[in-house]
Order: sequence, then C-alpha cells, then structure tokens
Amino acid sequence: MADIYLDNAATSFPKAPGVSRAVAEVIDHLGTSPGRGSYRLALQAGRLLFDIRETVADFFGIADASRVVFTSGATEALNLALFGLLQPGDRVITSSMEHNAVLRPLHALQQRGIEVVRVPADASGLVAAHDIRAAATQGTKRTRMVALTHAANVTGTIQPIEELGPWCRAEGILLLVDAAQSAGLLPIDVEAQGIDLLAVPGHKNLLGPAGTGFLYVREGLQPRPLNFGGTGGDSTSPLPPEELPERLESGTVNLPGLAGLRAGLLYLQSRGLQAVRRHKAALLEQVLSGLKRLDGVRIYGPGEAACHAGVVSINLAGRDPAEIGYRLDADFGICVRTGLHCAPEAHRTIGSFPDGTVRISPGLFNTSADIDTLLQALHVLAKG
Amino acid sequence: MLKSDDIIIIFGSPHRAMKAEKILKQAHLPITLIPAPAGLVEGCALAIRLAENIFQAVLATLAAAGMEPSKAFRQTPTGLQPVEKAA
Repeated sequence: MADIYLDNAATSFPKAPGVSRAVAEVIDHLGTSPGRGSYRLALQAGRLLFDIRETVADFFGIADASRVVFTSGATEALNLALFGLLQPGDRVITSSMEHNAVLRPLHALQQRGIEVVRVPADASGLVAAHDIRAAATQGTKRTRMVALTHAANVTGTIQPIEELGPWCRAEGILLLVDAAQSAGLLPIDVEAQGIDLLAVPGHKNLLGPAGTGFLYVREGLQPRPLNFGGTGGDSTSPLPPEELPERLESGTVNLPGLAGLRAGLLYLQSRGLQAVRRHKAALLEQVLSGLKRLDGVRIYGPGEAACHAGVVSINLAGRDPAEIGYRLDADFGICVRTGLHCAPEAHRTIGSFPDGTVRISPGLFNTSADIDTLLQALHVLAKG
Repeated sequence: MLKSDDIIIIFGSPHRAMKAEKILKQAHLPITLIPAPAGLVEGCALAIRLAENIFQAVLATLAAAGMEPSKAFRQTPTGLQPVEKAA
C-alpha cells in the first residue's frame, strides 16, 4: 500500500524536483560559510546566497533583496518581527484564527506590557476587515501593528489582506502577514498589498527543505535582533551591524537548505503560480464536492474551493478525529493531520475545540486518483 | 594583493559588496572581489579592487544602480590613502 500524503499544510512532501540535488550540491561541493572568508570558495558561497536572496525577492515583489532576512522558518520570522518591533505600551491587533507561532509570542509580549487585541473571526474562520479596522482605531491608544494570517492553517480561510494593507499603510500601522499557508499558493506582492513584514516558511508551499524561511522587513524598519553573534565583518564592535540582512542573521546561514529553497522557487516559477493554484483548487473542489455527498460529514471553513488556501478541515459525526486519522493511515495509507493543529483559538472559533478536526491538505503532486481514494476511505469510515 | 595606484572600494555589508560586484560585472568592468585590507573593515570583510582608469566609470555605474561605496582608497607608496568618491 503506497502512502498518500495529504498533510502538505504541515510540510510539503515530496519536494520539488531538483531540491534534494541542490542541497546535496552545496554540501558536497560548496560547503563553506558565505560572508566569512574571502577565498574563492567562500566568495562563491556568498554569491550563491546573494542569488538566492534575489530570487526570493523577485518572487514576492520585493524591490531591495537586502530586506529579505533568512530564518529557520516562519516561526522564527514571526518571533523576529514581533519581539523586534513591539515595545511595552504598544497595542497589536490580531485574530482568533492565528497559529501558536503568533499566539505564543504575543502571549509572552503581553506579560511585558504590550496590549494584545484578538478580533474574533466568524464560524467559517473569516476575519472581517472592518472588525480589524474598528479594533485598531478604538480608544485613544495608538495601534502599532496588525498581525494576521494570510490563510488560516485550520480551515484554509483566506483573510482580507489586500483590503487591510493599504488601510494600515495610510494609518501608519504596521502590517505583519503570516504567509505560512499562502506563500507559493496565493499571489503575494509586498508593495502592491501594503505588507510591511512578511513571514514565510520555505518548506511548505515553496517546496523547499525544512529549516528554511525568511522575514521580509520593509525599508525604514529596524527590528532588534533575536540573536546576537558573528556577522562576518567589523568584529571589533560589540554591537550588531546596522545594515540588513546581516544585522538579523548572526551565525552561519543554512546555505544547503536555502539552495534547496531556490530550487523550489524556480520549479514553482516554471510551473506558474496560476497553474499551481488551479491544480490545488481542482483537488480541493474534488474533496469538497465529494465530502458534501457523504452523510455525517461536517466541513469547516467557507466550503468553496476558491475561498480555501489548500486546506479543508472536517469531522465525522460522533467520531473522534484522532480515530479517523488513525484509520485513514492504518487501513488506507492516507496521511492527514488530526487534532488542534497548534491553533486552539481557531478551533474554538469554528466550534471544534477541544477535539479538533481531521485536516486534509493536498499538495502539488497529489492527483485526482489520490482524492478518489480518500473519499472512498471516508465513505467506508463514515459507515462505522 | 594591491599594486601601486590600485583603487579599492568598500561597502557596509557583504550583501552590498556582492551586489556591487554583480552590477559591475554586468557592466563588463574588470573588478575583483578581495579581502578588505586590515583596518578598513567596516561591517564587511570584503572590498572591490579596480584599476584607477575605471574608477569614475565604476562610481557612475554604481550610482546609476542606486549604490555608493562607503569609502574608497588608493594604494600609494606610503600605504592606502582615502580618495574622493565624486564621479
């Protein structure tokens, strides 16, 4: 029984063709530290890192590649943005659909005197733009930041970033977007969408290896570093450099992983983002229409493929989602994630707390036949 | 590493040095990335070496790309001396 992997919201699998080769190429032939030595191999590594940064910048409409700060993933990028820019007395607006990668840093910051306002989403997981605007402008205290997911990891609900970006920019409020589920799937252009800070994982829809990601930092913003250490230059100073990206990239960067990330990006560019989105939307449409024909299945989220970013959450009436996930795996070789998906508030919002849901997240390399197998399996399980 | 009258230019960060190298090589200007001589490292351990006769072309090319070196020096018999960057 071949496994059918439908947990791409956690991490994409398999990776794009060329990713593992790119990683191995660096490890085997260019295993030096970019930005440190100045011998030929180190310079070659530095040039590769520069090229990767420019590829990333180009992909997301970022004019100045130096504003792309590589991190270990979206979690570190979110922590860098939140801890690096918020100060005691600031107010930050967020939503009830956020991942713990946002909720937990904000909880910690709340203990340090930062006011956190959590705007509730509706039962489909949608956060209304007017509710964010109202929360951001109420009272006399100035709002420093809106921190919002682009697409909820539990339901896939796409949030109104395009509407909020220009408004935040006009109001002088920073917009931090968690693009964990959207980067590589939905169009993102930081300039056009008014995004000041964009946190992106490399290992999900961008099809790169784990341990890669980045934070885009709009020009004019100067976050405090999370990590302090060597940056390759001006070693006499006890302070980190002022210049980005080095200011925020202490330590040796993960060049093999980033080379793999670039291979993923180049693959996506060759496929075309629209074609990628069409393929995944077709799979989701097949999932949703098939689920709607099954008795006793509850679908969470908008229920229309166009409004889901690669993710559908469900439950079978009266059944433990953990048991459904176990049976899918054990009896049918289907990999899905069950439970709370590191987003307890999202489950409270959609009414699936504390048990959670069965989350189905097809990837770029799944086929219609995979979805048929899933639907047949759920049909069997729904009967008991 | 440096001959008499060679010019070196330095930047505030490795990223900017790499960017400058790319811009100048795309313009077919014969430059070389080298370790920044001791005492000149300011946020970046790299420098770009070039011949004096292309110095103005290098500055103009970088300026057209919105880049400017943080400092420039000429190799003289008594060591590296600062040079004006005005193109």
